[in-house]
Amino acid sequence: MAVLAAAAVGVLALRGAGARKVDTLAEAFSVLERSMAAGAPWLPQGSTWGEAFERLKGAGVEADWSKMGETLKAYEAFRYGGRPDPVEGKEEVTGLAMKIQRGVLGHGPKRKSV
Amino acid sequence: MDLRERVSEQVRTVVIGRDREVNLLLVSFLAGGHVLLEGVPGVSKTVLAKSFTRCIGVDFKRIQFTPDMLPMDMVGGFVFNMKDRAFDFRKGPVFTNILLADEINRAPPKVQSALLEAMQEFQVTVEGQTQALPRPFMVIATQNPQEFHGVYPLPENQLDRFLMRIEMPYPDLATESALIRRNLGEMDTDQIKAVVSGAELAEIMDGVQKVKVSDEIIGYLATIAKESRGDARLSLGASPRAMVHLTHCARALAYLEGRDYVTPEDIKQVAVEVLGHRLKLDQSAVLVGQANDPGHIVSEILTRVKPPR
Repeated sequence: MAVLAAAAVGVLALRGAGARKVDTLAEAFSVLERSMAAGAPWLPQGSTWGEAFERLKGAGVEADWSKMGETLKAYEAFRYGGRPDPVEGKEEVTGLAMKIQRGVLGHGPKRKSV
Repeated sequence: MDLRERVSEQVRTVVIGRDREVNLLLVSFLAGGHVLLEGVPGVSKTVLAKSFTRCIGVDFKRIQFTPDMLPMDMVGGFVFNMKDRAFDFRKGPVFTNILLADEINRAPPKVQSALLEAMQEFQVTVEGQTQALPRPFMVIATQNPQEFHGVYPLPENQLDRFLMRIEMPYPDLATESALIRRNLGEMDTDQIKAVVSGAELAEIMDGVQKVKVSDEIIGYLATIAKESRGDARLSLGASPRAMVHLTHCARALAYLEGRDYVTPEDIKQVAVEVLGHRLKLDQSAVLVGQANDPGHIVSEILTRVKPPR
């Protein structure tokens, strides 16, 4: 019974993350931030986005990392450079957020064998 | 080709496997600071400094520091002019754009102190008269950390004047092989050409000044400083000057990356070189084996301080 309840909560959480509409890239990154805190707690607190992406890539999380790199540049220009908040690329970011969340609910990030 | 690539390519014709160090030298130069190159003898510290300077195409002078040096050997002094029957100021080697201070820890404290004024104030004072130094002015000092005889270790206040300390380790196996092969012929820094004009350099330095540092980034820098001061393994944390220097370096790096704003990544890339030499380990932490390298502590602090994301 408890297992079924946990699975139901998991499915609902996934749907919630997927259904969440974001209007700008800043909102998308904010969703990603939350899903990283929940789904990838092994990321060091002091990681920059670039470092976090590198680690996620190394952990086997699949994404179009080259496109994510471009999206990150646009977001950083907004975040630190005072450019307008872009709208391009927000789907990739929320998609990545979902994948990370799935990692926790499913098998988690792949671990390298020692 | 951007400035960084042009400089690295030229330096590579003489010095192999030092791209990282060349990049850091360029960042320091554009940030308007001084560099301490630290490494055992024979790791190309002096050749690297000479090669870099030739690439930049500015005036360059070298002083080989010795324990019997006097301040006037560096800053110059007044000499009697028989013709005019007056004392004329004869400029010393410090009047240049880039001064290579070779084996700085061999200089006695009085000379180090005179250099301190030049580094901090961009001027020297001789017999009560102050003389301004040409700009840009950068000191690239070298020292061997393994030397204990006939040396005067730099005091904390002088170390704090250096924007960066760049450690030069031994080269890896492949680089060492390439280096030996290269040195079978002549290794001549005279073959290095200037890759930037004075006007372009002025424009670049002006561009660096315009790189934006957001409030969030400033808050991140202040948190790093606070963390270093509260670390029990350190008896001396990062000074406000250290944090200002770190900001200047991050701006220069951002400019070289083609951006007009600083990211947390820029800060993390240069933090160890900018902060490491200014932090003082707590001796009790050293004795119990909790700490032996301030650079590692800087890296740890950066791992736990959350950057603005």
